[in-house]
Amino acid sequence: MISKRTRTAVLKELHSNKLATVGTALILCMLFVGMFAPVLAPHDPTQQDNSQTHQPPAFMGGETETTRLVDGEMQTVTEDNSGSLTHPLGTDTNGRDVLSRAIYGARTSLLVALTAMMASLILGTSVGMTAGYFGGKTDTILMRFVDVVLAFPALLITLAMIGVIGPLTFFIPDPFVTSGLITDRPTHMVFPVTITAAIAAVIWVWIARVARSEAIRVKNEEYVTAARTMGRSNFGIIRKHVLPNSITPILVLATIQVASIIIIESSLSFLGFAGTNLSWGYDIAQGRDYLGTSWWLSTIPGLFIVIAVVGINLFGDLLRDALDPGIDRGEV
Amino acid sequence: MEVQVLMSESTNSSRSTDIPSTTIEEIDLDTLVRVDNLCKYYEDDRGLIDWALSRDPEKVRAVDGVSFEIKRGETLGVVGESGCGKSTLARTIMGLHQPTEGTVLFAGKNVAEQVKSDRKRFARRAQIVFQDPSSCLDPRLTLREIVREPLDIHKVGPKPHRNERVEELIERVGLATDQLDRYPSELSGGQRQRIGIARALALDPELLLLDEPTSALDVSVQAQILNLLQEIQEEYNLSYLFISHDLSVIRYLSDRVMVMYLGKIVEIAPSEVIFEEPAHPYTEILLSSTPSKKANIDGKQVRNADIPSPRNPPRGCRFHTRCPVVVPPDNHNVEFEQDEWLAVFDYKLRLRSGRLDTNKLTELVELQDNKTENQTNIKEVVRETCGIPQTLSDSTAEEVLDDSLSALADGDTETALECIAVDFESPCEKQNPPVMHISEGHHSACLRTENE
Repeated sequence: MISKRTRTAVLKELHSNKLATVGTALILCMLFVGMFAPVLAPHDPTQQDNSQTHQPPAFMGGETETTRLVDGEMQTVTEDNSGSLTHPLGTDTNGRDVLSRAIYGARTSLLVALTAMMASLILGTSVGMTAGYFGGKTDTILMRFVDVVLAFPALLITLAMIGVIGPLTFFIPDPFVTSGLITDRPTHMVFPVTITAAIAAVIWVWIARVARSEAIRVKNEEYVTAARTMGRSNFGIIRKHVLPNSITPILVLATIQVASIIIIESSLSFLGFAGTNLSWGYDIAQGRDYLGTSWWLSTIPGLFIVIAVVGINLFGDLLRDALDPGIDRGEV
Repeated sequence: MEVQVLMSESTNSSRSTDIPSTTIEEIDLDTLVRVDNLCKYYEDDRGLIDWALSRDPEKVRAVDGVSFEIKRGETLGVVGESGCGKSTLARTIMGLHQPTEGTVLFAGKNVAEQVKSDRKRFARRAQIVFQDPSSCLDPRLTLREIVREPLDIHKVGPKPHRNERVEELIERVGLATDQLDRYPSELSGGQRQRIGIARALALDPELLLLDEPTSALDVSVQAQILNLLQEIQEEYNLSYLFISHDLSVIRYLSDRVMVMYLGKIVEIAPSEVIFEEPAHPYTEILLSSTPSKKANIDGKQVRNADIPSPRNPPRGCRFHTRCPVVVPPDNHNVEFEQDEWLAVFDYKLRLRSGRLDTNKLTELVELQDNKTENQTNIKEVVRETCGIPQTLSDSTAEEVLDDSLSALADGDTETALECIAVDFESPCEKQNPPVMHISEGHHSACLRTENE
């Protein structure tokens, strides 16, 4: 499916562009982390331990002097509250391991982001291609609908949809745990269907707009007219000529939209519409009350979001640079 | 209103052509394509306001009542300035556009209907070579895929057979088969055009529409492509409809030539006749515009370089706004010397197109050293600008003209036009020139032809 020319272009871009390499590495790390979460997470992310709450990350914290009531009188005591390597990134209010939660959070985020992206890609491309290629009334009707969706803030629509549909989650058995390779980890992955559907419902319109404008550009090329004079059907022309020639900007946009999906998903979790509590946004919301004392509760998942988003954006730039000019400049 | 008047005119005129209008049954086997009163109007999209006021959208008359035929094995060249409807004509013949009116018969069958019911079958009989070699090949496909595409669509034989056929075609158009796995962006313009030709030949068509196939190429490459086209025409027994704005190219390849102006045929004749004895003033001007010839006819140049818009073409003969030999009025009130008449007609055209409004007049007067902008001065300046002598030879005409000029000097352009509307009206403005038979196969649409 990927032509030799495309592969060469991507590799060449990877070689010459340091930032692109960094982005690709970040993305691959995230994917790896999400995929092998049960193996990589040092603890069960849902395991609570009330004796180990608010532990700072390793090499942080230390001895602190506090004044408190001991045996009926006020005393100044020295407490050792330094981080340990058992919980490298500390623990939260309930003594759950922050690193493990962040690793599992990557899994949720990527699951939602990639599924929502695939759904919007399919829906957006079909609608955009149809509208752009056929034009006229079809175009007007479809694109006015798209405009209506675009006119509302994405978060508002998703919130409304979640309100209407209600929370719906799928439990997918974790292959590592089911196969018995790993124990002491959650047995199921939680896939928040409502959130995914709601996000897809606002993201596809962006794809549709780009697909439409690309279809309009390509359909006026003479090779499309040539295909028509050869007797190719409209569907055949879209599949064989219009889609392959407009896929690059669509893919680039889709890649970058993955980043905004991650942000929307985290925002929703932050607001309490998570559907699962293994999510970055959820953890940030949980840690918000302790920002003054236990900064790591919110900061660590926040950093993971930043890494994912930056990685995806850099990767999107790589795709754009690698796929576009190679054809326009007539390079091999 | 204007639109309706024009429409009825165009239909009348094309019916009154003297190219014999045969019915479908009478068609002889020599005729491959027969175009009968073909019209193609483009309509602007009707906006919301147009819709609310139920206004008709503006029409662009790209092709307006064109009739001709293409014989088997011949090359019919089509020339004309850009915007005269050549490409629209080709695309309508190919069935890519639905004709607004009229029919195209391909081997006796209506193309518009055939394309609706079975485009594939029609595709096997007629193909098109495009103007722009950089846009006519899909940049994502290899040359092999491009040339094989028609074979794939029509499922011609098994795969290995198709590949063999592709190699055969590639060699025929003068490219090496080891280039087949390259992409179009790696080729030069001429090579791409060869690929375009190979692709058009793949289905073994009877008719090839060549839509300015050489206009985007270097002169030396042009010659190679033209030679190639000539060779394959004999080899594959093809008929060509060859569109170009380049007369030398047309002359090289065409058996017959058709000259178009603003969507209408002005002259059609065998190649040598067109080039040696053109009958229509527009053809003469086209011919004289080639650098080697003198840029005028009878010592007169084209009056007005602006091509009128096909949205609102001039009434009567469409060329009358630029024609250097407009027929003088045929009423018996006034008589003109040819030179005088042309100058007066020029005045009329300027008046009508609004190029003699108050601002313009002031400007003209200021250019002269007469500072005062009084009636006499204005009159004089206008006469000078249009080349009208101080007094016309015919006294009635002089009176009419003077009335008009006085009105103009008073700033009343409408009255100025009205004064000369009746007496100075050329038949070319009133009448749509019928297509006249001149000699064997030579037809021209000009009132002068009729008069002679």
